[in-house]
Amino acid sequence: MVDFIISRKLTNSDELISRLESLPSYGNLIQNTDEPALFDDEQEPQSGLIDFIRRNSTAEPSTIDSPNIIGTEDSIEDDITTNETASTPITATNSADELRNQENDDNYELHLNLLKSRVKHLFILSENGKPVFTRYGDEDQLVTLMGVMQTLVSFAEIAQSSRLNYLKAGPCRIAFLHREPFVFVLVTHTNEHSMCLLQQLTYVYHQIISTLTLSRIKQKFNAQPNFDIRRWLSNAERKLLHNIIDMYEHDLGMLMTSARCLILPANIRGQIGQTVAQTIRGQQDMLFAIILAHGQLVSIARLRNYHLHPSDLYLLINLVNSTDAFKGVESWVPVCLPRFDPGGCFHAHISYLDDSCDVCLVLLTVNPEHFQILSDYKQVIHEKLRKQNLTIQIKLALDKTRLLTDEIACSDLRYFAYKSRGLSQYISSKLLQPYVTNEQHVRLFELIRYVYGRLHNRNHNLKIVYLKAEYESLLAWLAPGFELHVVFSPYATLETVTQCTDRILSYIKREESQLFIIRCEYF
Amino acid sequence: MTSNNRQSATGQAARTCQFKMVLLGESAVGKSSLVLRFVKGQFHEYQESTIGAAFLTQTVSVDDITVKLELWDTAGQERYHSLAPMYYRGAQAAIVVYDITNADTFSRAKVWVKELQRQAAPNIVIALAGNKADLTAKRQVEVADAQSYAEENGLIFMETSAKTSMNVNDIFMAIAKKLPKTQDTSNANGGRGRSNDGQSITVSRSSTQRVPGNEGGCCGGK
Repeated sequence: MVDFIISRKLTNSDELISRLESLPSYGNLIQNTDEPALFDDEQEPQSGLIDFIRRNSTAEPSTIDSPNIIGTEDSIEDDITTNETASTPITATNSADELRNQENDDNYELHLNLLKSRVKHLFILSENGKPVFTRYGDEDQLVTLMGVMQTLVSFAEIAQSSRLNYLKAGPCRIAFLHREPFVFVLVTHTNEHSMCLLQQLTYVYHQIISTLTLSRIKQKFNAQPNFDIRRWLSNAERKLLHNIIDMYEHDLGMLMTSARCLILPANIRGQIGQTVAQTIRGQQDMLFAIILAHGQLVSIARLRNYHLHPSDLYLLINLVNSTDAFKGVESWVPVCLPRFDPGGCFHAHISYLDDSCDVCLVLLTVNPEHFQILSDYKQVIHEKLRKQNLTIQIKLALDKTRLLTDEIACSDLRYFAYKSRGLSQYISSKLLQPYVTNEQHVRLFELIRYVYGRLHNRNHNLKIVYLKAEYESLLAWLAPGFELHVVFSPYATLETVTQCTDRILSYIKREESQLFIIRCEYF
Repeated sequence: MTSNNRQSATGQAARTCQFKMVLLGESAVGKSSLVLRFVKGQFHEYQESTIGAAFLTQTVSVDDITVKLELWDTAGQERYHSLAPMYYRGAQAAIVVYDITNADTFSRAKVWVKELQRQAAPNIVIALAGNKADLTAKRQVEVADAQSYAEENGLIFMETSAKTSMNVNDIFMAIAKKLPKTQDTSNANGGRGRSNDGQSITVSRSSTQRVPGNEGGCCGGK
């Protein structure tokens, strides 16, 4: 049972819009702050930027070349049929992990069954059809299939001189992303918007160039078109790929390209940020100093005029979260942030600020020789934060589970996610029953991505989408200053929806200073 | 084991030396396991792959001299090979590790040794470690072969086991002993000071004098 209320189409929806827009809490939130943005999600990547910074800050010769290769985003036609059940339960997600474990099984039959199963498949192949990666199964078994995919992509490009973006085959949706020298393919049975499928593929592409850097990959493929890139993808890199795919399905921040902050009193966050910024002040090679705790942003300090894109932040979070190898040591890792500069390479100093390895400090410089300097900064920051009891404050904030839904007190409210568009940051309530299992979590977020896709469809220009699905009702609201996604019980009335939304917005306005990083810290 | 920081180094009467050491070798031969056993006394059966390089320090005492070892544990994956010079440049010591149950890793170790002999500092002390010595049943590299190779090339050689900790401290100590405690200029940029940020530094010829602002590499007899 699906019932859409889309703005200006149904009388009911007009009422919802006018009610929501006349909420007193709405008026409070729409203004954008005058503060310079912490993140810039409109920022275009600049090839050669890192090189430029390095040349300007020191007289050292640069070694990294920076070819200018940035693909243009192709807009995709929205062809999702609205009469399909939006809340298709994902029956196969459960078995996904089991399936991944069967990677070494040589049984071809098994592989065939695996391909037919309703899990969300993701494949990477090289432009000449060589298998690079598969989310499930063993890519060696998929040589033929990847050959077919390669043929489809190149046929469209040669014969039609256009790009193949999207295919529908029965219940199956297949999204393609061709980014030289790779082809990324996603196969799904769910109703997710093609825009989201493409976004997920783009994250995977960025993950690959983040670890291997685009210039190196291109160089290698130019010299050796038949190169098997899997030689560069060891288990550690494969884990990064698996994790970024999984993370996309469990995290709305990646969808909304906005960072999630640890909830922290504003004065504590301010002290942390200032401590970091003051320590580093005067450096021209260091661009960003980031403190993360369990994948949430605690503080970010940066060199003036340089922005970190939220999607690049997710690559760093994925890197830190994917391995225990950074624990107890100081690591020095080359990392490319493709939204900053796809051609260049940062050097990241990664270390933890506490013994139990909850609070992670990431320092990013453009200078490969500066390990010692960054290592010294780390020592100083570590000491200062410890002496001022700030590390303990971060850990206390981590231990304090904030459900947020109970602070809003609305019986039909199940979940909400709020993005401040001006700040490119978001906050969400904790997932509670019935979404505590992985299967339900993934199902709910798929539904949210479906609604998100409708909301952001450029052709429709919608402000509000309200979806009454079988097991829940969803409200998505795109206002000038914010974006709000709320999940209600399926029985929620219009009255409840309005009232509850009002409470959420009031709550966020009230708590804004601890939910988000409002002030930027500069070195 | 007391960790030796700069403040104590300046205040101490005893001599303190600081050396940069790099671990090289094919992936999964046990470089990180050796370092973690040596520095923290830990061993994990499923040690995660190193990403980039990990930096650790350990202080040992050799003949009344405090020797601070700065260890660069590099990632063994092929994609990191081009970065290796960044780590062995300025290093006074290197341990090239192979896995005794995998002959390919021994061949790869020889390539590393050759590269170090050609590219690294001329007086670099190189040790060859045949790790996973506890897995004798799966042995593919004979002790005698590695021994004779090491002798031909003037390397310290030991078979080690990070798991049982066999020879782990010994190989690090053997290197620490062999490192020249009165070395001078050639290693000045190996240490942890701010000296190796690409600028050139004039280093005092006297090996007993510390260069102001640079505690890298040489034995400060303060």
